[in-house]
Amino acid sequence: MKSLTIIAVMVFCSFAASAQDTTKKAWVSGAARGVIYGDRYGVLEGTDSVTASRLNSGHTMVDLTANIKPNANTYINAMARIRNDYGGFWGGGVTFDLRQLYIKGVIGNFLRYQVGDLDYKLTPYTFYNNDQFAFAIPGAFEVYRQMVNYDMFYQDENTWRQQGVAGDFALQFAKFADEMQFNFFATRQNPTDFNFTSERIFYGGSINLLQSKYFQIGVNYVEMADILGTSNDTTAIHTPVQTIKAGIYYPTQKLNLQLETEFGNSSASILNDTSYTPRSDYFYNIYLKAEYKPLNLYGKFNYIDIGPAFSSPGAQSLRVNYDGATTIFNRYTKDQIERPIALIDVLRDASLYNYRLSANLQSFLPRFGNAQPYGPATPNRKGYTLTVGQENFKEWWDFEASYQNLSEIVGQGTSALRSYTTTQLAATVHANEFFDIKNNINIEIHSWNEQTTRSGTEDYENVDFNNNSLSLGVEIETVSNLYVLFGLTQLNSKGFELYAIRDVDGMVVDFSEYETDMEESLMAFGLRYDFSKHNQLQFNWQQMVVNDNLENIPGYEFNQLALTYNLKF
Amino acid sequence: MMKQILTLLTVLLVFTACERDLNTEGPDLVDLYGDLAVLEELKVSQPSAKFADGETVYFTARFSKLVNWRLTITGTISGAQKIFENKSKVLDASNTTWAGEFSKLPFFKTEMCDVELVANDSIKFNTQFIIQSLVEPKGLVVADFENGMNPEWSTFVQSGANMSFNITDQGAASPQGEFFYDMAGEVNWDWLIGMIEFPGAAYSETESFPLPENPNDVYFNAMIYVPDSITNAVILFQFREDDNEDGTFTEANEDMYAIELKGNFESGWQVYSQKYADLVSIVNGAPAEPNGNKKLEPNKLNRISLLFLANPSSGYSKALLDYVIFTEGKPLIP
Repeated sequence: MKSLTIIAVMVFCSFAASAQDTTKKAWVSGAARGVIYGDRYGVLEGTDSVTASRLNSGHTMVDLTANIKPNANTYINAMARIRNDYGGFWGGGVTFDLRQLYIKGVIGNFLRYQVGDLDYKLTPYTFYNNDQFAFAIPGAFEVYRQMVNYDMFYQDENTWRQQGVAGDFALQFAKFADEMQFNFFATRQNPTDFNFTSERIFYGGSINLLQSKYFQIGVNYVEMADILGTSNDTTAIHTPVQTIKAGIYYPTQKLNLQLETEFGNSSASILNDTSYTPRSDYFYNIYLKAEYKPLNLYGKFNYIDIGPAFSSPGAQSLRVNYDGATTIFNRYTKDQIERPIALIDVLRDASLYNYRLSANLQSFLPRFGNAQPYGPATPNRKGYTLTVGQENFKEWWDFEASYQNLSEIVGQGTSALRSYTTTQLAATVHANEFFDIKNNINIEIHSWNEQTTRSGTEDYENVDFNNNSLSLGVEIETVSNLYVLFGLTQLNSKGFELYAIRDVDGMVVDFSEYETDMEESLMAFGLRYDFSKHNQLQFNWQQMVVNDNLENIPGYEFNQLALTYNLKF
Repeated sequence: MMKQILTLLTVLLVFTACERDLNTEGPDLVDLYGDLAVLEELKVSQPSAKFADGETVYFTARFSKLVNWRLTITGTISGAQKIFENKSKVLDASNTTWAGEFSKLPFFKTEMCDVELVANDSIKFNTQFIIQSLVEPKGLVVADFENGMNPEWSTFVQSGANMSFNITDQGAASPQGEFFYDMAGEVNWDWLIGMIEFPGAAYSETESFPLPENPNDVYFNAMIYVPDSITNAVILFQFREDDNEDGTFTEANEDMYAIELKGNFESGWQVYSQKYADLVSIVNGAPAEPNGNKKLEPNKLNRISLLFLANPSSGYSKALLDYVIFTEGKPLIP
């Protein structure tokens, strides 16, 4: 019945769209996707006669969005997803879901509001959806990342998809300041079960004063809180975070100078829970950027100090659930051991991803990034980052190189502090511009090196852990809009780290010895045809090899064929 | 411009002068990875205790680093056990205080106890302790079978083969007192082998059990023993509530909740405990809507029935029952 209702709404909207004249009151937009995967698995040493060596999967789906404007000040968006997993002919694998629903509009030509699904963010220390990768992925694999991000509502602007209400308005001034902007939101994190799970909300807002093009200052406030009385649970978490963000901007004809800072504090407490020790801490961030416009050349300096007890669920929640189980070849080898999460899973398995914010720090995998696993708001870090780069120089290239030196503020289990040194280089060269060739030839190179060290007076205090990633991507336009793709990513992790284990309250209660010498490589050859900017067909052959030199897990490889079709309309 | 920069930096400097807790996070690594040394061997705070008089006893020991330890107190006569387990450097009153409770059946008696401390699976210490008197568990005892059958109870036993629905002290050691209830037999035409019913009238002047109103405060506990050779036993406790408080249970419009125990039972006597609030309604083994007001109300509990069942094609079955008790606030073994 739900499916019929959704279809009926869509059909109604289609008719309404065809009947309109110059002012559209209803129209249909959406996206469509078809994916076919053919995966073949094998162990690197010995044989595995238990695990099926081939796995085919895929789906088609259509997201149909009804866009309705009942009046000039109101807009309704309802998106339904029809998905058919391959192998589910005649309705067997078909699912219908209402994927998105919101209403937005303007009240009194003054207050903008949105009710229902929201994509929202504030600052990297209050409410921010950090990317899943600390290192870069070549363009040949970008299609997978885009599909996961689309399915999980992760936008390029690092917003979190939430359900609730949001509003904003602004005041403009004739003197002393240009504008003052007010933004507020309230979202529901989980409903009560009327037993021992209380209603949990996440709310906040910001007030920003745009004094002029030279100076801006604003305050931000967010809080995750349980509502007492909505269940039998007499305890309730409260995690308010308040920050001030300010920026001074000095543009000249040739130079852009920018000085920004954000600082604030957090306090985490659980009402009526005497076993929980309330924690509070502060952070600050100073950011300088100088840009030389004639050459599009820039340099950046950033210093951070994020306290060990700084707690900001809106900014520290992870996209990836590293405690989750993989979907493809979940168990392998003749002993049918569980296959741990690998790069290919993070790249294309949407079931490993989170929709919700987490009240406490979640588990992470050090080999996917150990310096700032929770993004810029990672607690217990201080240090600086130096960056230089050039954007789109004569359409020849873009590049950025950075060096980051961080350390802990307090030690974990010892007074000795870890230090984290990260260097990154990312460059894209548009080779066709050198040779004046019309068709695009793009070459991408990324490298990422992250070293974690700690030296103590005793051997058991020492930590020495390295992550390296090297990526190469080539994209050649052969005939108009038909691209040949090559992508290679290697991720190597080696060394010893003591991984902090936290309890449900986020306190470090133990350490787990994490020793690894793991090599992962992902290589792809592909063809992509761009029907338009929003309509692409891509075929990839790719090979992934996972090799554990310590033999904690048996090495394995996947050979994969993937055909993806994406359309937005 | 300079004025704005100076203002901003002043605010930032004032802010960064805030104090911060600079204690290390997590347990000290020396506690986890340092050399292990015994700083103080196992000692008992007093050689004997009268638990019935409110006395308690605790055990002490100290190590140079964190250890996983297990302190086992075993009654030399009863075989009862109390086990403390933890990970710490110190054993003291905060983590080993004992008031005579048990972790494994049977109950302790007034007896000598052997006390063993094992740390990190490698270091062992032993001592002894004497129990001079014990505290009876607090709660409403539904049946301990020490004084025969209560005349208010009723039983129904099928006329099958090798039937034995009776109170006995034979065939197994009683986990509490001397006697227990033996249920056994073979009925090849019906699941039900036999049953025993405990009406509320046996425990109060009203028709309901004298229990608190809040189902979250009430725990039902029963000691059950199913021999290892028996794989077909099904034990069904039914809790009938008198929703309209007319003194009787009416199946058509009043609530009945249940606990069904079946499958692989652990060896020996086991305590099965369940919070009253977690009882469910079951009909023929499947979840069902209760027929009454659908509220779990222990103060309106009118009757408890224990049905001993087995698949009629599976042959002989047997289970022993002892010490059925309601406790408040926590189960019999917390």
